[in-house]
Amino acid sequence: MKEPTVPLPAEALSHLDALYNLARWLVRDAIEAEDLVQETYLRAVCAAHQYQPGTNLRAWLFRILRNTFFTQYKRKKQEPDVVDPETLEIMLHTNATGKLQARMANLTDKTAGLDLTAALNRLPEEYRSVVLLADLEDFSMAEIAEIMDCPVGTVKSRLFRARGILKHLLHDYIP
Amino acid sequence: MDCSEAREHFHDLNRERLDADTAEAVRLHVAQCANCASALHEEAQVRAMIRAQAPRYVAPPAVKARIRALLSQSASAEQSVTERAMAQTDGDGVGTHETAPPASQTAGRRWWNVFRAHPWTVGSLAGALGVLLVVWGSWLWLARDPVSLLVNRAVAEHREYVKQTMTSSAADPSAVMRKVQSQVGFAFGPVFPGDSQVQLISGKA
Repeated sequence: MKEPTVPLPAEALSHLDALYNLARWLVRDAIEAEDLVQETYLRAVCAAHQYQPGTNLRAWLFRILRNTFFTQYKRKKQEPDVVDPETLEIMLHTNATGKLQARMANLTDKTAGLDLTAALNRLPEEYRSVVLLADLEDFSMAEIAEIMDCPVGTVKSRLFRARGILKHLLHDYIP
Repeated sequence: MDCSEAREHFHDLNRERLDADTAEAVRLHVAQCANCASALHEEAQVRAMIRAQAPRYVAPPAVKARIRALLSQSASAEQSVTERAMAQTDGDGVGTHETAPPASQTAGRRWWNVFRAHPWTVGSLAGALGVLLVVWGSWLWLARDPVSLLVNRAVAEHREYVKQTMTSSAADPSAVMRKVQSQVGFAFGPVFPGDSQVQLISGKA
């Protein structure tokens, strides 16, 4: 790794809480979130020469955080209690048959008591990240696409699906 | 504007980040389309709920302090490099731009950064390495001890002589001792003659 020839802007510190927040949502553990954030800043300092002053520092830091999560944490363990893709399709299927509607009814009965945190934690990571970046951190679609290293269309699709799932999971709270 | 076009802009409309003309066009479509109106409403509901109720975790003060130290260390290191480069420029008047710190300094800073990020891991590794070094050093010292080497060699030679003489036996122990003495080349002390309770009656080597 090349050493920095420029220091990281002091502004980087102002994004610490937002980065820690996403880290907590990703790893679901306070200590691991601290490690993830520290590793993120360490990498950012080492890669400070790659940062172009005047560009989006916040998005750049979030991208490093997510890449660090994938390289160091994601491989460690399976995500527990995540809704599987087949179930997602059922939940989003507006023209479901009677059988599917029955399965969905069972599913929503089981999840009726979930609060928002539990519902978010049941989303697959790529859906959860999109929702958090879009709705909690207020990033634009283009910024999220840059952070997640995927096309804008994919971000829109994930956000649409994630909101649909959340609406089903939180049907007791959202009329 | 059709439905798919309008829905493309829902997120930015809810964030109030659309330009006035596009926002007006989206609102006009939504006013005429019940499905899109419902979709926009749902999206706004979910977004509002997340913003209002999702917990926002805040970094602990200790983490903030560590990150602040890391950033200030990075900044001060860069400042010292810049100052050194400027001093060199002023000194020779030619403008020799030193943009990178010396390799030894950068390596040291890198290790220091790693230590700051993972103090327990680095400490444990250093401790384990220290124990290994002590064990290895002790083993080397013992192996190179001349007395130990001499003793080991003498014991090995003795075993060889004893093995060779195992093939012969004699009723007289002194005959065995003479044979061994002739092979080793030096005289032994007096053979134990026995006492009132123990009598040497034969020898075998």
